[in-house]
Amino acid sequence: MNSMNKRSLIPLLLILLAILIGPYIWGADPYAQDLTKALQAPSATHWLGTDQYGRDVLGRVLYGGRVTIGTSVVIVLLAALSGTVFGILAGYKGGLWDWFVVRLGNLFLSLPTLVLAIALSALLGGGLDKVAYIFIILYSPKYARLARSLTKELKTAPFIHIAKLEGKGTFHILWHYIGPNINHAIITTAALDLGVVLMELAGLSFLGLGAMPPTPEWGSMLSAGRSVMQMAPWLVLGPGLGIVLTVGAVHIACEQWRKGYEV
Amino acid sequence: MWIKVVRRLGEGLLFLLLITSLTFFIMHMTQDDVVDVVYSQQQSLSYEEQAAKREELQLNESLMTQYGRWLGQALQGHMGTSYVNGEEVTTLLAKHLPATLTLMGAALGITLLGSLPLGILCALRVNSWYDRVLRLWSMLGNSLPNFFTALLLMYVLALQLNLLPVIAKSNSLEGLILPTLTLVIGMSAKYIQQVRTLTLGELQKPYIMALRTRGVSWWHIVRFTVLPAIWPPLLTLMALSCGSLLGGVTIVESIFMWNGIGKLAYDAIVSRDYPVLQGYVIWVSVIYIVLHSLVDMWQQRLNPQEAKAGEFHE
Repeated sequence: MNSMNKRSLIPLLLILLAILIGPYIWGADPYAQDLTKALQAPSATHWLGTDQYGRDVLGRVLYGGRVTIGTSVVIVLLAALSGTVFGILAGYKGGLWDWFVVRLGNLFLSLPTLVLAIALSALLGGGLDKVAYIFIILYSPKYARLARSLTKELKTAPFIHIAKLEGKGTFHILWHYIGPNINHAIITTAALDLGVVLMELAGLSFLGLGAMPPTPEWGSMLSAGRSVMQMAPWLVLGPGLGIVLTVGAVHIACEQWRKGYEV
Repeated sequence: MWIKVVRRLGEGLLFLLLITSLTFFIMHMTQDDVVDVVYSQQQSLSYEEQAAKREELQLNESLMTQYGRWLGQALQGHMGTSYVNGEEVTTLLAKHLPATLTLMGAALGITLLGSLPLGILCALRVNSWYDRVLRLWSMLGNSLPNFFTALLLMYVLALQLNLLPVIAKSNSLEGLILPTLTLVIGMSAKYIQQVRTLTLGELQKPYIMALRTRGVSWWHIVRFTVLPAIWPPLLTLMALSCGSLLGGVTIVESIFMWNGIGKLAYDAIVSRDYPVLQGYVIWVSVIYIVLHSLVDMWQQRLNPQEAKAGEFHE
């Protein structure tokens, strides 16, 4: 399969490990308030200090990672999956369905996604779930377009023709012949999008449109820490570094995954 | 070609109608309206006064009536008045647009001026120390969300080093520095990478080798062959980043209190000032669609072959 350098996955795996197992090891409750310990600087008991309500910042960063990374992964997976299904069908079947997908895809691509995401989530009243739906809808046309053009190219290939002559059904051809040949392009795009979606999601939460307090989420934690940044910069640094490291780790893995296919 | 342009514009208009209708209906479906959010907070209005206020803003008519009236006015260029301060939305947007354009122009200009030489330099000496440094920089810049960059810059430059005021006087030159820097950091990462890749692709072509063997200097090659070759894709990238900037500046403007349309939109979100928010979406979409169409046309003029091929290809 892909001859990628497996070591490039290490940073990403470490981050996933940290957010999956970290909260159990660290053990601090991300919701437990203790106003007597508010805004403490980083110390041996609180490695990243405490916030305005005396909550442990490291605990919140670890839990926040689950929310932020988890939501972004779900968004990208669902967008890629739905878009690909529509795109493959459009590319393979052609006709009216194809026309519809192409038009819709073009329209969505000629739009400022972030502006729409901000406006729509503001109109819907915000909330992590609504933002997620909006992102899925805004991102899936991209995959539909990609899957469609790849399928269209493959459709006329001899091996597809032979499969048809052998009497294989449409679903069988799409699943066993087309799918395996286009999935690496889809996965590459999805992996690249993951970092972007994560940052945009955190950005919307930062504006107060995504996750609502007290839910620990990196974007909303940054926004909450912003007002006391002068006294307690660790409130901003913790979740901020979380985002930077995660997106960086995704980029590193992506780069190697792509190189694995180029060789 | 003109058929294509007209079709594109037609598609754009159709979609504009779609977005405006969508935003209109979603806006009016939300539970609490502006009377709940703004007027009830300012002074405790009695039930009758709230009803009177709704009457004044014509919020209690049927949805279709409101939509019809709104669309009719929008077609004539009136996008309604702000619920909060009663100003015409069009004037509000026109008043705030120059600030945003200044910010975007400054950020794009500086990014281009910096990334073009740096990217070409890296491509000419792959794996040199500065190539590695700039690759690391690209990676870092791509991973920094602009709100985090903004807060870091604010903390270091304004709070710790006291070089700049935290919140400068609105729309002064001093106030332009931090938001511009924030945007430049994010964009330059992408641009350096892009310029490097494009230049590398061009330098690997055989004709470069031919020019070199004839003794043409690198400077001459870059100036007269590489630059014209990488210009069109770079232009596309610029148009695309204008689009993402229009959205991205919302966050940056609201952090630094830069009084552009991004901040206007943010304030409208907070106070549920729907007409302003809707006006913002329409304006930004129009700018975006026009920009993309222009770039498309320009690119086709640069490369007529592509234009011909493009007509058969979706």
